[in-house]
Amino acid sequence: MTMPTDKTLAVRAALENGGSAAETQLALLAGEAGDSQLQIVVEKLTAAEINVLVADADMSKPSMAHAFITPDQFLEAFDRLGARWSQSDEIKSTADYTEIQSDVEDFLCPMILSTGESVRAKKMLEKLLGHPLGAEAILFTAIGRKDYLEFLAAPGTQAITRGTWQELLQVTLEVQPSGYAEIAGLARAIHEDEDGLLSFAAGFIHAMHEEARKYHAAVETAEEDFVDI
Amino acid sequence: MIPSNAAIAEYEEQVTSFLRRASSKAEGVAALNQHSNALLKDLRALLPAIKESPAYAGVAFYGRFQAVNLSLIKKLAADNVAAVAALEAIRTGKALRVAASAKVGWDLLFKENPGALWAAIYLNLCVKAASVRVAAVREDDDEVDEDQDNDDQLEDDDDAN
Repeated sequence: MTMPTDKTLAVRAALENGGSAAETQLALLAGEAGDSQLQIVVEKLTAAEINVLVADADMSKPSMAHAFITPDQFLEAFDRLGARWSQSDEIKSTADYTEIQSDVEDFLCPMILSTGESVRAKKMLEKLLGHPLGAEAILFTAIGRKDYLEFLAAPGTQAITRGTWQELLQVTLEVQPSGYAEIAGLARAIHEDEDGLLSFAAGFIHAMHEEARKYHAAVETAEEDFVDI
Repeated sequence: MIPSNAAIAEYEEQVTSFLRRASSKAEGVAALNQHSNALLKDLRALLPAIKESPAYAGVAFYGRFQAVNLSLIKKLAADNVAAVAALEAIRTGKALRVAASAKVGWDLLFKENPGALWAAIYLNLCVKAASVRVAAVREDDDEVDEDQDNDDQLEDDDDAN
């Protein structure tokens, strides 16, 4: 019988060829050994591997791994999220951050909402809101969207579209009300003109880059020059 | 003189504590690099601590040495050559390069505590816990020692990268 370690190695080997290859491998494992083995395998993956696995996922197409990613893995993967985005682009208009905004939404929503279990959503949100940029990340998925201010001003009374920033905020309100209050407070602090939103977006994206940068310090140092003594 | 067993153990503990806390080897090395950057920046203030234990010098120079002739360095260690003589033999034998970012620290420690500098070299290049980040010498570099020890060291580096 194949051991979980071997299966993890098989997933890691598949990850070399990208997230969809690993997804196929996970599907094979699930078919052969069931969800309990899949859980064991996913829990062994590093945060960097998780990020490769979920890179192409969204709420319409979550990864098989999403249901088994632990809150700690989620937090570590979130910490590295900024590594995906170009650092060269300036945020001068809403259009400059909408792609990143969608990326954050596609990262957060499946992680927190895809199983539909409120207990899991609560644990994941608790972890995320414990991160210095957690509340900002949730707010970032909403800023500038149609009716987002109305949505924040009257929580729980608006119709929501499932699997979007709206459900993310709604679930946050339900299971982490103090976290929601923090997000609402952040929203109030943003100037309601475009400059305020742009400033918030630029600050958030920059901070996420900084978070991710620490994981690449080794590569940067390895490339430095050596001199004779 | 090579570092005492206590200094070696302390160095190994400091390095492995970073690697243990990280979720992958690369992340542990990245964290160690950040730590070593901070130590190098404040190396002068660290001199008293380094005098107490050269392990701090080893961590400050983590990944900052590039062995060109590792067998010479190991032979100097095996022969228990005095620090100043060992450093001179390394220099004249062109057995080592130092990261440009650490050259100021090298010069400071060479002047203030050559024993600790020799210990830092030994800890980084001859103690297993440290061998994950010795940078590979490019093929076009001169005087590359082809002995097995060096090959092993470079393989370790490849593993780390």
